[in-house]
Amino acid sequence: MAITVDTRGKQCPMPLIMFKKALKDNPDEHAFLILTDNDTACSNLLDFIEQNGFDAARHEEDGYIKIEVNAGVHHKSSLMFESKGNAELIGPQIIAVQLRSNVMGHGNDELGAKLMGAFLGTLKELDRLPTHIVCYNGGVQLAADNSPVLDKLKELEELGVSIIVCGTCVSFYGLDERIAVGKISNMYVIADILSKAMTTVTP
Amino acid sequence: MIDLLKECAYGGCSAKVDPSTLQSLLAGLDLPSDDRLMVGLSSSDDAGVYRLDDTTALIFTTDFFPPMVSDPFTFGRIAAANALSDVYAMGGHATMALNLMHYPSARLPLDGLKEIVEGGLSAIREAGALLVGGHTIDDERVQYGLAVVGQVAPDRVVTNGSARPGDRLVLTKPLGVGTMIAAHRLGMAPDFSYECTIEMMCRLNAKAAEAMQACRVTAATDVTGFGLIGHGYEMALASDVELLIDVHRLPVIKGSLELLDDGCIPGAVFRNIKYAGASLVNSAPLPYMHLCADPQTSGGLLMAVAPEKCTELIDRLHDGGDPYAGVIGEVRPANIPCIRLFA
Repeated sequence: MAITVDTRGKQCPMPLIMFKKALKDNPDEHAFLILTDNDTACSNLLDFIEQNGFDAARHEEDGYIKIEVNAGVHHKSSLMFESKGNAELIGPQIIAVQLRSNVMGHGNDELGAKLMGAFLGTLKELDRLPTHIVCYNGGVQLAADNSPVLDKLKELEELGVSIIVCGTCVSFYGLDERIAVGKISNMYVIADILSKAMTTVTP
Repeated sequence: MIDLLKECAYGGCSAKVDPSTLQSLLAGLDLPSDDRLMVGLSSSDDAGVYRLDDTTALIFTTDFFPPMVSDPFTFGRIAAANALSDVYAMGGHATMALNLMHYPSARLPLDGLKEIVEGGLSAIREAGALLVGGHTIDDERVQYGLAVVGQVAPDRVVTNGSARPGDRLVLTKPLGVGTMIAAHRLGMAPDFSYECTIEMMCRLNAKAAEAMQACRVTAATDVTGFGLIGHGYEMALASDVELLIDVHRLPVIKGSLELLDDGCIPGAVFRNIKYAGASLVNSAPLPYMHLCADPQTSGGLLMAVAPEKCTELIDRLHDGGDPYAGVIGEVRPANIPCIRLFA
């Protein structure tokens, strides 16, 4: 028995809302029957059904239109959507990389420096670039004019990644006037970015 | 208390005629031409641009629509901000404006008309332009907007036809305006998100245009009724490139993706997807595709910027009061111009 969704008398987007609710309420059903008496709603419903990969058959009845829907194998996947980035009230989703020291990992610093170079070189190859790179404590040395990874950070900056360098740390390491990439900023900005980040990556 | 929302079923840029229909109708027109015309109808750009002399080009545009909010002053403000935006999208500044008004004077109190004009004037004043006249018709439906004249140096005109492969794509305002307005009518919009939406529509793109000129951006368009997909498609076509957009980097009005996933999809979304046709290549989840087709009223600017200028541009946009401006993708070479969405 098909689930019937009677949207007659309803204007867009109400018929779509009712159909989507029926889909969500009946995740194990494949067959749905939508009734509509509105041409625009009908056209939008048919588009929506096609976009979801469902099959549809349209029948003219007396004074209304009947749409037979077979949601089939696509039904479950159409219900999988979860929007990310709810940490922020509004705005782009933040993916932050925090550079806490000039090396990657603990153990041998010579190896750690090499790893850091490799890590920053690989970032741009990933499917999703980070939105921010935050450098603090020893990490600020990576943004200095003599940094072995300066070119890599500059390249990431050109790709649109915001590089934030902790001002207090810059002064502590005696690197005032020597920061060659990114923007020197304060702890408020850094805390704000890290607290709103959907994902934080720490090499 | 006047409630303009009770007046019409489709307001703002959602009320535009189907762009595909319009394009085929206008395709047969025999248009006069002139060497001084720098931007005309052919590239579906935001405004016409006409060279006066070596230092000045004139920007000329108009926009008007039925209400998408209840309050007359707010409606006037949004309609004017939306009309002025076309001048900003060309990289210019506004100099003069005319009011275009339809108002049912027998049915609605005339105070409403005055408030709409005052709202419009607040935007015109902020733009540093002059209100020099207008035209008011007694009509069954409320409609308001402006005709605007602006100026720009001829060598600094920003068009939708100069995006180059390698450029980064920057969007200045969050998407989801059309969805929030539709949801508000049904009582489904979260209060906070709806207030943000109103605030966003009231904002001028003036500072964004200044940032764009400071960073020598050469390609931009404003994202309005045809959505990011529709206006992006026009940019791809005019520039002969592919626009590659990472949907997870899009600035979004909170709650709009959830609303779209619940089926609260404005009708214009389907129209805009059809407009882009086979030039839209989507591999992102459906609600993101719908978000990208969501009709924006007084939306942000979509810019293509050279990578070395990208950081400076974003900084200037943030400093100018567009905190959600960000990189959303990049421009790629194309055999066939298209707009590609991926997750």
